[in-house]
Amino acid sequence: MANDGDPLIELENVSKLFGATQGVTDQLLGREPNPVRAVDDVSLTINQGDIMGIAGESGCGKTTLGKLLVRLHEPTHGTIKFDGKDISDLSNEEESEFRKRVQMIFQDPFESLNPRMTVFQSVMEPLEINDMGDSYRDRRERVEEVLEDVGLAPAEPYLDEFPKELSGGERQRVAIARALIVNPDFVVCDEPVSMLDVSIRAGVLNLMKDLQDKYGLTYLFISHDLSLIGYMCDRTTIMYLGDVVEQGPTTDVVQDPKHPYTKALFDAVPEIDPEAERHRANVTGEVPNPRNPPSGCRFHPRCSTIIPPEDWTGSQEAFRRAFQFKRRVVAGDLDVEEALDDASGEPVDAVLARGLALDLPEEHSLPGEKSGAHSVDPSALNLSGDVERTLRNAAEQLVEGNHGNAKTELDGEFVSICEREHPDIRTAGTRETACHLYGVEDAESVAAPGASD
Amino acid sequence: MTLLEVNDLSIRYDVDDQSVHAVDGVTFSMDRGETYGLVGESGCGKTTLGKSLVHLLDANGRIDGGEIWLDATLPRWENEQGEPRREIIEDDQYPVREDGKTDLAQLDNEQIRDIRWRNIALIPQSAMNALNPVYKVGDQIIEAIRRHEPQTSVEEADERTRDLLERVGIDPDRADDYAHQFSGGMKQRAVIAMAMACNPDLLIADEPTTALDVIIQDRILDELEELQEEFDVSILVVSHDISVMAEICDQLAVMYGGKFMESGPKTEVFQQSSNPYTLGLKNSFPTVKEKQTDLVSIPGSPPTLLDPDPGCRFADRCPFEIEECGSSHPPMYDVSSAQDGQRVEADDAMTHRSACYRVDELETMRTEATKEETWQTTETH
Repeated sequence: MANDGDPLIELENVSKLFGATQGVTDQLLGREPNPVRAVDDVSLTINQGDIMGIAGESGCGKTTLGKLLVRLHEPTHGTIKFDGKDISDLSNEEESEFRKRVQMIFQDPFESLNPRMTVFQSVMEPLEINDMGDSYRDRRERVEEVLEDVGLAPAEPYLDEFPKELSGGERQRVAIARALIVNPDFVVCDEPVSMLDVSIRAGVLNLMKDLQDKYGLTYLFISHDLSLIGYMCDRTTIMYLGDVVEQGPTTDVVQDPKHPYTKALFDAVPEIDPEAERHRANVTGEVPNPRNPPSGCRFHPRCSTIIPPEDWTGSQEAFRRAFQFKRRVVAGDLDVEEALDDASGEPVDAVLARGLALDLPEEHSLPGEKSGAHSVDPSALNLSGDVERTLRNAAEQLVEGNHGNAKTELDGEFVSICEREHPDIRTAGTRETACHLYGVEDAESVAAPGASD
Repeated sequence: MTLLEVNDLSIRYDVDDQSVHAVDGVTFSMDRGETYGLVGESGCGKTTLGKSLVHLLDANGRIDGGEIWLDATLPRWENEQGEPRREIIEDDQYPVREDGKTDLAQLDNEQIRDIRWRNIALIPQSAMNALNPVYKVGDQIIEAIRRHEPQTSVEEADERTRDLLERVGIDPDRADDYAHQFSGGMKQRAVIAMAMACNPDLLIADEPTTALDVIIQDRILDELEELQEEFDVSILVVSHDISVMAEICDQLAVMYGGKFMESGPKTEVFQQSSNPYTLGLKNSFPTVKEKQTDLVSIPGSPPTLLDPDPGCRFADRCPFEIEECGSSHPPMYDVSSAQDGQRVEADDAMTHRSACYRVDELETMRTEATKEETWQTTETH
């Protein structure tokens, strides 16, 4: 149920950089530190009573974001406000209050519970640390009550058991009880069910929903599994390489993704209905190294709807491939020898055919382009004369082994706004997205060029 | 044509003086070029079953009974046409049948090595860790080719290795790199290339995409499908992820507690599920695009398989339990006769089968299983 409660958590331009300090070797060698931008300039608001989902591939910064919110990490830049107060600027008393109001549930209940403590000891520990409850009897009653709330009823037989005597589902329930016993307002759940079996999973998820009502909780639900996000969350945030790329009500994000990355992500989820027609994700390559992320929009090297410059005359598909050709030449990724070995015709044609090919699922390939074959017929792209000439010149230089000249040839050609400028968050319909396809003022007027499906 | 026929296979792990019944009386068969899925929760015996086909069980595991007939034989028993020789078939000391199939369960450790990779290749679970970190990726594939096809020269093997890598979408030059220089998706592709090195008849893929991100998973599944088309290889996929199974399999078996609960063509198993466990599993699985109804979990937790009770393995958690369920685990009944109200044991391992005594009351079970309250009655400690 999406509700418009008051903002509970507000992030403003929050960044977290790892390895930002200069080590001894770096100092001696005079190297600048090259930090990993795990979370980069994220602004986000979580309302009271909401379940906010964070989704993305591994390494996108979703867990780091979660840990920032419970202050397991300090932000490098930006401010995080909890209930109106900046959490990096709290007095001791305020801090202990904050620690009570914010809790975290970890991914793996096989690791997160101390194997030498009984269930009772584990669940009671937060009460002792926070000095809650008047007497032992009082605390014990509270522990039993919470255990019954999380579905371990009757609680009595569980109290003296050790984690190894419990099943995975029971352990995760103990971990939830441990988070809830201090009566928090906000709980960060980091992949809470990914270690549990399918038949157990639904029980834990439903329990979390029930407890939300009962305890008046706000959740941050981190998961790589989009179907779980779809089931649990009111609002969803999609992250890619430390950036928030899309954010909005879950149903809208799932039904009609705006950002090309979100679309690819949802396309890639297998469908349980065996008769469902499904499109494969139209992306190339893998997630780049976060130490050295691409310029502009982080997603542009993989994106299927990269925006051609205004003076581009051909199709968007042609631009995408010409752009990839240039990118490969600049990075030195284009294997000229291999192209020459494979082909029978003119060397320049062979290099061009290889350089313009993309490794895509069959439904997104051009006619005659086979995955793994790395070759495409350039005439299928209808390149304009100028463009073809530029590409041919570059290919010629490559054949002659002048890699530097080939780069010069392509310098300044095929430049996309996606590569130049980092898109800021803008509104598109009911949600916010960071993509140049959507104009800053008028969200719907600019359609994706060439994106027919 | 049938490639693999598994009859009444049982596998035990010895633990002290007890034994874990990891796989119990499983019967199924696979056609050439087909993808067969084994789906189930952790500890249901699906990986054990896959690995037992090529004798890759842990030291305390053993095949306790049953037959594994594969349509191939050892090179030393073959004639020039690749068929088993007449005298081998007729001699009782060799486990070779009239139709040319060999019983893998009876081969010893030395003999099974000729089957591994040449006929059956394994893509292990967490392929991320399956590559040796101190050898170049290409050299590992060359090693496999040369072990199983000793007549191949190093140069030929090297060329084949590079072709294989290119085939799965890796730049052939990367054969000279080490595993740590590969990304997760590339390692997975390299392991697939390695499994395909000797052009096997059967590929066992144990959780082939579990550690991968969803977009890479999508590409790897696509890759597997293409390879299958190109090389006409059969794939036995082991996974806990029902939606991955729905995507790639032709035939499917749902396992629970070491037993097959339901098996048959994919669409039938999914759309006309006929076993309480399958029905429960479907209730507890969220989908991303369809309209979401509330998830319902199956109460209780999976059984331990240490000397289990004789009754149906699922009985403790099953809302449809009757007295008969406690007597012995139900055999696999034929679903199409059950729909006419008859309870007949299935004689064909390829048809839609379900192990449930109440299979003749299918309609009632299906209706009841969609109701949430059905699953709440048996909640226990």
